[in-house]
Amino acid sequence: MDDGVLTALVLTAALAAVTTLVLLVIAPPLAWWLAHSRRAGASFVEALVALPLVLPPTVLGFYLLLAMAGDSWLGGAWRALTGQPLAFTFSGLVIASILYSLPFVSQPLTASFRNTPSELLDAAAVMGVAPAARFLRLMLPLHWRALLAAAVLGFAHTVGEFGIVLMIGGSIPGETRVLSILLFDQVESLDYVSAHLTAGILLAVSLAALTFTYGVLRRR
Amino acid sequence: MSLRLKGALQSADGFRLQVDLELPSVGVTALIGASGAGKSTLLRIIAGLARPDGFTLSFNGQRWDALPAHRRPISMTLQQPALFPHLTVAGNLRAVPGAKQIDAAAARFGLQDLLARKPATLSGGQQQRVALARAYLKPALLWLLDEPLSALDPLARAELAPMLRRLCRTLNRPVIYVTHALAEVLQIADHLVVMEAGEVIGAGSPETVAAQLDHPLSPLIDTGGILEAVFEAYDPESRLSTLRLGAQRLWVGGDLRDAPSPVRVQILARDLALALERPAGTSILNILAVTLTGLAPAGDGALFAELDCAGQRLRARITRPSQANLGLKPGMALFALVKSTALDLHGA
Repeated sequence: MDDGVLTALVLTAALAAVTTLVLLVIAPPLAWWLAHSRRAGASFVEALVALPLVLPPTVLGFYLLLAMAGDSWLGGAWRALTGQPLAFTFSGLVIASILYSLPFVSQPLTASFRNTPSELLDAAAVMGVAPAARFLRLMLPLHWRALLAAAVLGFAHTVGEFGIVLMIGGSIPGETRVLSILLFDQVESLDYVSAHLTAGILLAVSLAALTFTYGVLRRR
Repeated sequence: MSLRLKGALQSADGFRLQVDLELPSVGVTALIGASGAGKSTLLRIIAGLARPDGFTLSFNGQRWDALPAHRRPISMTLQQPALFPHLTVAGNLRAVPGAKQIDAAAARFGLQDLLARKPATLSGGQQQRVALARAYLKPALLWLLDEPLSALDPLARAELAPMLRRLCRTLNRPVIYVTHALAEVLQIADHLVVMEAGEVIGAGSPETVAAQLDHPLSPLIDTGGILEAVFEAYDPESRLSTLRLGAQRLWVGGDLRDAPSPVRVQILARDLALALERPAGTSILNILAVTLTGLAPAGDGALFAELDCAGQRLRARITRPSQANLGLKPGMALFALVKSTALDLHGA
């Protein structure tokens, strides 16, 4: 395996891991709220979260590029905070991946949370368990399958993103050149031997992740 | 010292609940009524699981309206055991905040050998015992039991009923016990509240309530009365208990050796037959000497014959032709007949 592939592989794994970890913190409370809120605004928020499923990644990438520019509020704030730019950096990719992969983590969780038998919530309440503890200590362990499936889907989907990375990350080795971008570069330069390896890795990871996810969800 | 609940609600599907109740904060209060009468809704309001506007609730002078369910000093079991499927029995018990002496609670409810099991591997009766133990582990001032036997098959019900009776008697906490079967609570209820279509239609001691109620078409309260009798003996072969009622004897189905005294026996008005003379050559064991005190229309063409049985009130449901044939008049001495199988207290 040449250095380029190895570097891209490590970078892709790091991006997917960081993104998944952040999403595992953000998505469960959001999904719980979406599953149980009766507010009128909840549908709008749900639609907002689901947008990356239907939008071309380039649209999201375009807006993120604008938001991350050095003279924008987000890019400016980030630079003031860290001294680094956001666009065309690993940090920028992480933020983009979080938004882009959010629906893949939140949707299986929302579906599973919605199926919580109401008597279990009642039981927890009359047992004297406070709402936050009800969620963290009883509901999250109860929905561990959905959490696992969501994490794997989020990871795999981050590994597989392309358009949005191209828009805001470009192709900087070791910083933003993930496997999907590397494959694009390899094909453009007609290096089909390397392209086979890169494509093979992506195919294998995706298939393994999906098989695992469906396996977990099947054993009930 | 009491639980006060007052308010009204109207749900979107037309169900209306209106109550103004004061319940004693000692002993067992049975909240009884047909399904849809609103008794579970009432219990959920007391528990804080439903907090509709326009209800005020206080317990021993403390207002509970603003308290969310998890802050109310209650122990409750729901209609379903509602055990957490991903936790073992021990895990379910430990999930109660501040639970102490889990082993003692497990022993009390006969769960020692089940602690490592998951709820899915337990029988319905075992699951309900875990739910009771879980409620028992929470320090509480008031117990709420929502149809604790209704989700069980008859066998599990017969097994759990005595345990539940013992629990209610030994808790030293007020209990509100919701059920649609009067027989289930007859032996333990100190206070009876009857609900129908979202309203309380009778409240008081079981004997008074049974005598007040005049709803002939409701099988729940087609009660001819509740007799108080003293346990005498149990015959395991026939599975009948003998009770003393003054100088008379009553045979009822079921083992009543551990029942509190006096034993309460509910007799449905439709199960009572009347005779002018003591019948001979009959399979009916229970023949009670009674005096007819009055006749009242039952509302559906039939009549209620009001009876006095050694100082206790009874009511038989008879047809108008029967009344004419027997020439029934107040003051007559009669014999009331009821089959022992109609008085089966087994599992009650």
